[in-house]
Amino acid sequence: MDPAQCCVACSVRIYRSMLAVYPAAFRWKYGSEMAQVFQDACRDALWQRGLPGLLAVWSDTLPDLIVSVYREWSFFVREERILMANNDNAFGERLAQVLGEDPTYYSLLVSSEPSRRMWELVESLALEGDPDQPETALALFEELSEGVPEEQRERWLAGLKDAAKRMARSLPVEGDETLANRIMRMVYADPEIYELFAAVEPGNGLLELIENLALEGNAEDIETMLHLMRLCALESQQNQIESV
Amino acid sequence: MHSHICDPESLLPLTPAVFHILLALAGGERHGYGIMQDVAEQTDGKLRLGPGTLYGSIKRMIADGLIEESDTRPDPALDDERRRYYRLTGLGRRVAEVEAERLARLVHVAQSKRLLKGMESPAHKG
Repeated sequence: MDPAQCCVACSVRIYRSMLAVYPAAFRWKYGSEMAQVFQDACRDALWQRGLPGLLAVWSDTLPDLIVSVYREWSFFVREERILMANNDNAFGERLAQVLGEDPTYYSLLVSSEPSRRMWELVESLALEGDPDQPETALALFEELSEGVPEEQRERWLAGLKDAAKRMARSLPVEGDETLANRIMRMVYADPEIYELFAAVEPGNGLLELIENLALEGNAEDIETMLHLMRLCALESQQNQIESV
Repeated sequence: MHSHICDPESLLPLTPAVFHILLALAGGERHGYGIMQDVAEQTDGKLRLGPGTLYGSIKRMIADGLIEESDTRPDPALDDERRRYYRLTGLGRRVAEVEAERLARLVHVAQSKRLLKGMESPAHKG
């Protein structure tokens, strides 16, 4: 391979790797063509003007990449919101899916959106009752609630708590499973769900829920309720357990 | 996703990139690099489309129904079969026409206000 071909091949390899910053769908659809066009431009420039020509191609391509990446991500977020308007779960699920694929996308979303707007998206995730995405919602909440006024934070946490309860009620029932067992299953599956209850009403939130379940008169859940109460006892609720 | 746009004027004014791509395709089917070369030639090198801007525009122009991917392929002996070719749709041609007419009206206004040196309109000479 002569030096000119080597320069072009090297440039194309570098450019191909940079295409990774585009949204996945755009990259899959047009990535190979973009690399082909870049290769054509490099070859022509090198043939006509030598190395300065190749450098000129890079000086045009780098600003184009920065601007077009921002533009494509802006369109991506806007298009997903349109989907959300037409389908209550689509945007929340898609957002969680994107973040799950690559957490670096989260930083792109946060940097382009005011914190309050991002919180609205998180709240929507929780209220949609998607049991597969509580980790995403909690992780986003933890990061975004920093610096938020306490009263507002409590209100949002209460909303998340209600959403978590609805999640539990919406889970498919296994056999004769009751709500308490379902909550238990959720907590075992994802310990952060427990933190969600505990964070809203430290030490008492989950206990109140369990007491409500007891008042519903479901005797088969005693063991489950006792186990959950033991978890709450970690917050110095031991006396309450002994009294039961 | 294709939008159902009936009125070409609803898309005006076009961005420079979109209009120049339409102009390039008005001369016949082109692949991506061919469009880039035509745009550079049309503007004496003043507008050079990078791959990101080019294909971002192509994506949205396809969604708006202004252009489409061509089914015809050139002689494989002359070209790489991996290249995709694009062509104007009927709507795309109409949109290019109304945008050109809009720009022509602006040129006429500029002429009447003597902003175009050496290109004064006949009504203002003498």
